[in-house]
Amino acid sequence: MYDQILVATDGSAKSRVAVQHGVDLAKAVGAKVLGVYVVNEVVVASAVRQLGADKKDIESKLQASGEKAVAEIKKMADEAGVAVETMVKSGAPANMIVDLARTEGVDLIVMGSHGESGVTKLLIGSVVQKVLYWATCPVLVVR
Amino acid sequence: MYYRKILIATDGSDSSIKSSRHGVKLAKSLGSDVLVLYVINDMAISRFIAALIRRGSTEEDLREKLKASAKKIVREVEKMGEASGVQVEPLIKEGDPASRILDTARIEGVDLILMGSHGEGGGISSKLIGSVAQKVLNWSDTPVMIVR
Repeated sequence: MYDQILVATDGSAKSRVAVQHGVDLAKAVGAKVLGVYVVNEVVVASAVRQLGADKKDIESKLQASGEKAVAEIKKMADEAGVAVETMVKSGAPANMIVDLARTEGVDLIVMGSHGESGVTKLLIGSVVQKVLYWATCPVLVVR
Repeated sequence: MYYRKILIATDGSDSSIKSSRHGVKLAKSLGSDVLVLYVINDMAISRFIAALIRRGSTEEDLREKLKASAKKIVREVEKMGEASGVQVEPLIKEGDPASRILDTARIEGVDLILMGSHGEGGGISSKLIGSVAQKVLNWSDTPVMIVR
């Protein structure tokens, strides 16, 4: 059914639920999981510009939370006995997820309906919205 | 796997035939049951009704025609199920498509909603998403898979 499932995370509790769905689905169909966290370069740029943050410092902090988030995916996949590869990338999250899905030949993208900045229960986040616009493969959105 | 019941929403468009096929294939590999839902859009009925009455047709005729075409569309998905050994239960409802899809998901306790990115309303762009899919994504508590 699917050979490779891209599971996107931003490390939030909500995206952990989506990760669990992605890992369970991968296990059920015998797919490999590609766990992805994207360091949002727009967030980096605005932190530098508006808050006067140190670029290197904020980048390394986000890189570290990305490493932690993908390590969780790896742990869940390992526990489920699912093959897994993880990566932390830097860029605009939606573009990066869609590009990776294409270049890695992914069969399905799984993500949460909201990222960590999600304030409303009833709508969907901007990253997932863009992924839905641009992705050429099926997208599973988990609330 | 906990996707015991998958709701496939179809409207008979080429895109939804493709997504239905994907849904049946997924159900097959997960051992899930499928509910296939076609919603007769009552907004569309009210839009056509004036023109039809002018031509001597009745609302009843139109409803019958729409029902017949709905049956044919869900039958296509039932056939996909028969071909691959997946149990497919057909459902035809009337109303606002997104609302009926969401209601049905809740009432039937489905674990996944699967639908195409565009319906028969005609996606003008292959890069954007149809209004029914958008509403379902916005309001659903159940995971939603969009198949382009």
